[in-house]
Amino acid sequence: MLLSADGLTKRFGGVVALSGYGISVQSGELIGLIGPNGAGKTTVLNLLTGVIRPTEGRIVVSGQDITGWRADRFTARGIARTFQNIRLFRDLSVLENVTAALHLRHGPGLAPTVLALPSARRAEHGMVARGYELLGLFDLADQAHARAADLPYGEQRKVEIARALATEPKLLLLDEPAAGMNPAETRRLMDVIRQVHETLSLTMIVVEHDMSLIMNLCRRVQVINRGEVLADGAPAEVQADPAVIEAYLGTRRARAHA
Amino acid sequence: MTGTTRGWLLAAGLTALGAAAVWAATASLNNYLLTLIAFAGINVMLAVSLSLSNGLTGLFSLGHPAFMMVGGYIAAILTFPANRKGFMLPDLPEWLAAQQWPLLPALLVGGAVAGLAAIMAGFPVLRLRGHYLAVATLGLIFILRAVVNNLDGYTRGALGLSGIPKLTDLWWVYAWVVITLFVCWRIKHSSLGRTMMAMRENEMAAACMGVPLARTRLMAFAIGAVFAGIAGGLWAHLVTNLTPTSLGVFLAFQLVVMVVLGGQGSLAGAALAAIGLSAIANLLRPVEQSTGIYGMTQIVVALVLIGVLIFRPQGLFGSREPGVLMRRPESSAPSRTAASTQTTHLEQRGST
Repeated sequence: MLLSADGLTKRFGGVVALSGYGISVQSGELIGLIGPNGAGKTTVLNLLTGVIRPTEGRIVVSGQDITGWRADRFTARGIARTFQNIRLFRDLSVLENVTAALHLRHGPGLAPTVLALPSARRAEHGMVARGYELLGLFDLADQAHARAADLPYGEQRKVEIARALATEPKLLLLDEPAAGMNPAETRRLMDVIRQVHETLSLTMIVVEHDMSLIMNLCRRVQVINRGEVLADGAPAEVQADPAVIEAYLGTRRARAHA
Repeated sequence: MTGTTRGWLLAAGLTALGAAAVWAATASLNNYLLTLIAFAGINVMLAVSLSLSNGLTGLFSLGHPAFMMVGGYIAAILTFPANRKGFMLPDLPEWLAAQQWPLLPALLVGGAVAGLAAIMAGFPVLRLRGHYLAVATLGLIFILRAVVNNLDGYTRGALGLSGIPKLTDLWWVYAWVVITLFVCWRIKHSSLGRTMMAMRENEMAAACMGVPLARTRLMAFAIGAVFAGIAGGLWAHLVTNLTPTSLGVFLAFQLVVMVVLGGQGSLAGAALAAIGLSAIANLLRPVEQSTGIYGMTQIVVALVLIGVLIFRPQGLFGSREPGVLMRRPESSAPSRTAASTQTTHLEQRGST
């Protein structure tokens, strides 16, 4: 078991954002997490990456209980993420965005850096080379020296994924990677996600509210609504689940056709 | 590889050029002018190190003079003539009163203690952000002032410690300016510096990329404080007289002005702004005296600052360094072809 979360509850003051959430992730899975707006998807992601601490419940990664750890310790344990509202290091170059994330596993310490030791120079060359490789995966090598904020929206999303991969995760969580993209861009992005999943055999959780996109991409889908898990299983099962239709598909379709 | 060699050659060339300038200055200029240049050099050290701890990490600390005071007093107590310590500083323990150190170890110890003080103060203070941090670090100056005032058996309190041996000359200052620039340049253009800038750009994203926020922030703060402490030691042995009020709020603001003028995080910018402001202050002093308009310097500096904030808010160089000092970025792209072949390989896989 790569990750398991149990009874995760998060209250913000009197508001219950999530109650009794649980998931267990096996190595190699590509899981879709869907739910209508305000269902608690981003709360799940923030909890599973240590950005916020659960009010109750626990998170176990590779057999170690890391509940309450800081976000950077989560990342060190192999959990990486992207953000729904892109959070690039805007004023740094595309390459620097990726190499900053490579520091976690490959960065030299203070003394070798200041003393200009050969080990620091080797580490730097290694990080730059690896940075170009990662950018290459997303066709971004030509943009390496562009300022991150100057890239088009879709490209920025790809830089975010490349940057997350630079932390060498065992589990990658993507928060609405297709948000704000047109259908063609979305299709290309889905191809990239599939490629990353297959070629790097990386375990992933993709958060989306676009049902069809998730159904095409994932073999396992978890649906949440109002802070609770509604269904968890194969896309076909989930789509047939009356509770899901009721809470999610039903209302959305009704509204769409109205 | 060629890029790195070019960088080292450039650094060596600039250092030699600076040394030649210092040699020419000491040979031809009078003591008054040499002292002014030494002050400008100390300001360069302070502005550059503040640019590292503030500009790279996005902190807004005004605490530099506090760390100068720590380093200055420690170094001055260590170099103070042992035969006069007995009646000047009666509370010093026996073993310390007997010491009379040369300048270099005294500066290093002063810098180290300033760094430790920054780590201790940083634990609580660096949890704050923005203006709150600015006010809290400003408080450090007043706390230090109170400490120095009350430990009068060690520091002579409000009377001030006078008769510090005049050990600082232009060569000492120049050497430390070079060391400061070298260390800060290395850190800024390193992996560690990138994590600091990442933290400045987006804290949450940096944490999620594995940057330990508190430790990185503390490290930048402490490195800045070490150089402030050493600069304080140089300052004390240049002025030969240190009082609890010599390093205060006015200096803190001057340093921030230098960093802002140079561009947040630009080391060369901070250095040039420090030289420029020191020059303005000293050029205007005779004008102030002859016209009787005292305080003109502050007005001019304030006008320059307002002008920069209106017309060029990113400062002289933004957060970057002037182009001539930088390697061409293309030279650090060893695996571009390898990366693009891998891309096409992946694309083929993806389309099948």
